[in-house]
Amino acid sequence: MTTAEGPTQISRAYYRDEHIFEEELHRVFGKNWIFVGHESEVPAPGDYVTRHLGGDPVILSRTQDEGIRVMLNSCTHRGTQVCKVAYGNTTTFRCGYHGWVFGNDGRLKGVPGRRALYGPGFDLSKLGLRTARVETLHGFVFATWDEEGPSLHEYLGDFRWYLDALLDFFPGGMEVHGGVHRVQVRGNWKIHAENFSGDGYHLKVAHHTMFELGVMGAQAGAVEGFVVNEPHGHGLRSQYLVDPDVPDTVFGYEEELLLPALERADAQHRKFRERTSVIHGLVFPNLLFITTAPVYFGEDARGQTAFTQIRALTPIDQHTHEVAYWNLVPRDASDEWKARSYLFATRQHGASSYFEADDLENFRRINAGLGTVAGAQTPYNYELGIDAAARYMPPWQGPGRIVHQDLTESNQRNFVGRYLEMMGATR
Amino acid sequence: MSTAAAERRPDIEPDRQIERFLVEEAAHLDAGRYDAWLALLHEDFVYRVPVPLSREDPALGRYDEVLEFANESKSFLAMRFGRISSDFAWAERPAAFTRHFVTNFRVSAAEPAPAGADGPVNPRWTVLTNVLVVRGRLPEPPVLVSAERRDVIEGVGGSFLLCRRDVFLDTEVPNESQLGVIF
Repeated sequence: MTTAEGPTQISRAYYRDEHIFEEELHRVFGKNWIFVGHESEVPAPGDYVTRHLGGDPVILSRTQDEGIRVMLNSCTHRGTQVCKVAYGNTTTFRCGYHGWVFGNDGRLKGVPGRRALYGPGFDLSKLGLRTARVETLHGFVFATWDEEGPSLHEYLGDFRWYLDALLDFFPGGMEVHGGVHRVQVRGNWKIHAENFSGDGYHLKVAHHTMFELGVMGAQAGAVEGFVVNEPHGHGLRSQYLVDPDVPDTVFGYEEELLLPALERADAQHRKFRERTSVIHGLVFPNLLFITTAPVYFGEDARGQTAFTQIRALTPIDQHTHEVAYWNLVPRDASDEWKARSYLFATRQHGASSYFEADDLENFRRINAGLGTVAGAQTPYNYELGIDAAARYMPPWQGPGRIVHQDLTESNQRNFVGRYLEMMGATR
Repeated sequence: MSTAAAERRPDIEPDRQIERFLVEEAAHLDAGRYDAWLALLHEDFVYRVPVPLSREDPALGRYDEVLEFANESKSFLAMRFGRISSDFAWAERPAAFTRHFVTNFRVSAAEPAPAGADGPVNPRWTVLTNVLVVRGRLPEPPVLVSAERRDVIEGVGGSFLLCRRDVFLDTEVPNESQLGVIF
């Protein structure tokens, strides 16, 4: 069966077949805009960080003229990685094998023995590091190897409105706190991606203990949730407190930072964000985000504090993926608040936190349950919420397909549908 | 055995006493005696696992000063253990097998603890150890993880308390099973 958003089932072959996995790296990670980092990670000329763009190692760098470059971290001579470390600052990358030297913009600047050993037709200008197409949005750097595809603006479509509400809310913008850390987790990356895109159904079961322990504060009370999706595969879920005594505000920020932001915000953006207990979602295919404001993580972490975490998923093989975690903070927040926000993020959604562990546990158990013969005949089911009536009216008016229902797999159908389309599957 | 873990033994050298304390402390973790383990922690206990980083220059710091895999306190750890009794603690049911191997003890000279209100001035030691931990939980095979620990241990009356533990992992990109360990 297929709905307006996408199919209601998908074969497990997409989660265990190694040939499909290879195909995925080309068709999904080779063709879409992929998040590689944030501009605030490379503030000065020469700053660089190393990342992956799907199956390709890349360097994200700030060039001498302050431009942003994303280039293949592989020498054009014999393919050696030219940069081996997580981050740093340099004007050049020198290959450790034969000494070819590239500028931080990727241009080949010189090779040992160029005049004596290479012929007159040897053209340095054609042998720079392979450079990706790059576009940015509110400091988010996206890159793609696809020279023909849509612009980032077209690619995000109506979802852009929601990213504006999340990333362009505070007048000074958002920055990365500290940097990135990475963890290798068991399970196919798509399970993690679809979970973030809008799985409100798992909360009360998978994260039951968070409610028991009082971490969630008012979120444990009456809430109304909605999901939003966009045909390029993007989706989010936002959840609102219904208690009329709760003020119309965005929870967990310093007042002196928040008030100017609320005053400046677009009226509908404001309604989208106020009274939310959590907003989480996915920019297709692998950029995840969550913003929430827990109230208690021990005696040294009391008092409602917001955090915004983003993640990028990099597939390692069909059974394993690497998760990169960043914490975003308003640039103009106090240092004390930034540190507290990071602490709350670490305790709720850090890779070693026990709440995060419950999600990771499910991802690995799905992998463990893949099976072979009977597994192949048992597709995953995405029928949740198909015939459900609208339950609530959303407090905001905005673009995209807004589903007036929290417990629905509308976003997952949308994700799976877009994924299968990219994979060239007939459905 | 377990109740004796925190007791000081004036008849043996302080570094031997501390070694004994840390071996018993690890045994509590491996056996899942979490209440007994919590009782060994100072009220202001800080547990931190900074993120290791590959840097160009080997002389640069190898552990990030801001980024951390974990930052926990005694009350937060108490929440963590409190939930294990819940049927919904998915990641802890069934429990993992863990085994700590604690070696290469290096104990600093005693220094006075920060002065409390009129209380006695307790001695504190900084203790470096190497740990190798095995963690096994199906369906994956057991994993190994090694680290250096830097502990601050205070002698309080007739016993010891753990005040701080910094864990320096030997891997930059650990897996989730390795991060499931309390070091």
